[in-house]
Amino acid sequence: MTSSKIRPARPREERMKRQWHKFSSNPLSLLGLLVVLGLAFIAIFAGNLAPYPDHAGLYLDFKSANQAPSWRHLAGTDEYGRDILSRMFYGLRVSLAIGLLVLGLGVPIGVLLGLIAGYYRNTWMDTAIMRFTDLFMAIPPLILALVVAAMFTPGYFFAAVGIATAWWPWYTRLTYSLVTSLSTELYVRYAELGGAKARYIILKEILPNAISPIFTKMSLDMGMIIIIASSMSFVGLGVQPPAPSLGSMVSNGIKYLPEFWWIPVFPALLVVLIVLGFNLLGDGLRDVFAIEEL
Amino acid sequence: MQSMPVFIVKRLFYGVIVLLALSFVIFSFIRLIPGDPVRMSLGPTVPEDVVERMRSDLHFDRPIPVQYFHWLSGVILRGDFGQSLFTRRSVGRDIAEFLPRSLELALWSAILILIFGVLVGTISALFRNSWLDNALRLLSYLGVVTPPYAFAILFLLMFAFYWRVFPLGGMPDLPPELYTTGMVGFDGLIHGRFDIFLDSLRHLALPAISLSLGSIAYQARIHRSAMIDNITKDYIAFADVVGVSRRTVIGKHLMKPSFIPTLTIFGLQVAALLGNAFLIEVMFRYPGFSRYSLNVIMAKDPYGIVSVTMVFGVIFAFANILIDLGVAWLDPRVRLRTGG
Repeated sequence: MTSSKIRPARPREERMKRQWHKFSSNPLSLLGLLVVLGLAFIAIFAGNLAPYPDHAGLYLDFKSANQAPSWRHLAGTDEYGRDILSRMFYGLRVSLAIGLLVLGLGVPIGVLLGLIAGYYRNTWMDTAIMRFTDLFMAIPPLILALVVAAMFTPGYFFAAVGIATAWWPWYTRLTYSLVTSLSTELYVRYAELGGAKARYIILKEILPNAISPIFTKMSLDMGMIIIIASSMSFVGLGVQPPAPSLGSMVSNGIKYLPEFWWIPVFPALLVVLIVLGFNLLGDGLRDVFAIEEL
Repeated sequence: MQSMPVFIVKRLFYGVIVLLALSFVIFSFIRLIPGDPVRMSLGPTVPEDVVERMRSDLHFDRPIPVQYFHWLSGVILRGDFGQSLFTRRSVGRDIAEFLPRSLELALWSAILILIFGVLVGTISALFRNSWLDNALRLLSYLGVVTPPYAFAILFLLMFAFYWRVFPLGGMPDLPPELYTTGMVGFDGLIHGRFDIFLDSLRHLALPAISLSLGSIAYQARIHRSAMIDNITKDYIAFADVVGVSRRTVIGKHLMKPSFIPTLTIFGLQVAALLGNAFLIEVMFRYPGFSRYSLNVIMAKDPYGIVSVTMVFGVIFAFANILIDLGVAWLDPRVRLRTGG
């Protein structure tokens, strides 16, 4: 592109239009967006959409226990006679909430430390922060998350804290590498020469330019975090019964295989659908932003 | 410039420091949270003086750093990992009993991941944009988004309940006279007991496949894109033009550089493997180290938790060093930089 080209009147709006065009021209990315929006809608309005909202809690009806999928109960009923589809809606809500909570706790910490370490690289601050991150990457994330979550009272908040403890270092690493390449850009040099404070440069000059890869990673990570969260509730470190979570629905259902296969199978399929949606969306975003960065 | 041995020693040294720091942080946290693990382990009916004696046996009446260094010196000097409040046995004995089982499961899974990940990725890349490639890509995408427990349910339903070709789970005990490494199949093999080896494979098949499918799918995607990146390189076109046989081009010039990203990403698969193993071991009632670790973690057993995290950390660190060595061996640029 040459400098003689006329600049669009509203560069940001133009760019977003171009990005949307690029994103929407890939049907798979659109499918991902639709799945995510649809699931979010169901999660938010679970109380209105669930056929039997009271089955999400302590509800017993042994006469209709272990019924196969039918028009009355689309996904069948569990060992207490509760409608599995209704419980899946509430479990979905929990899964998405935990995913957002993990990102909400982990990403700001991770990004902030990465910004500081990257901006002050080759100083003691860089060394201290990056060596500290190494600590949290020394054992597999799921195990660290389990150890941390098990120290507190079981519940979805501390499950999220556990996962966030294992997750933030990845954002520190990503931001660190982004800052390392961004801080040699001319506009950062000019800001420095103009006497701007470090805090201003980090937050106003560098961060906005690092935001798209971070955002894309968040979308791609959401699926992985939901799998990990469901694995934790699988072993009882998540939402406590009788409240439903997809992982505990699967783990409780396994003992009813193969006769009452629908008890674990439908919640497991829902996890697959959630992760599929977020991965398609994330891949779409990655394609769009990678082109923009070139 | 540094030589390969120096590089390895440095990595090992740094790895040890990191693990020591991590284990100290974890241990301090467990000891700082409210609650009395000794009382929890012994139950409410045991008299207070017995609980008191056990606390002092475990050094829990001393300051936390003292407790930690007591544990650490035991590990270093006597190979003693302390006493587990969960099994009431020495943690070292528990590790020796359960770890080989999990290593056997992890090794088979790692082998499956490397072989099939590379195989599927290669086929996909060589026939790219054909119906076969599209089918394989769709399957790998589904593989990546499916949690391991979902695979486990599917395989249990199909191969254990419906067709009954594989057992539901578990792993038979090794006859004591054959005990060498503790890995059932491996010990069977070195003692010429092929019946034991085959039986171990039958029990390992479903857990190992459930554990590895997601990673196979991921590796296949990485390997495919690495191969396609390299297919378009000039030196491949050149080799083609000067008449190097297709087999040599693919086998030698294309495969080797394409293994570099595949192997680099493999470190993440090892992490996933070790983490996910606990779900698979629970589902298949496999008597392994991950299931033991889970019990120890849930019981808030201080010496147990700090020991199992150390063991996981050591395995993880060793796997990553091996991967680094593999990458250095494949990639002349890395080799030159380290001067090995």
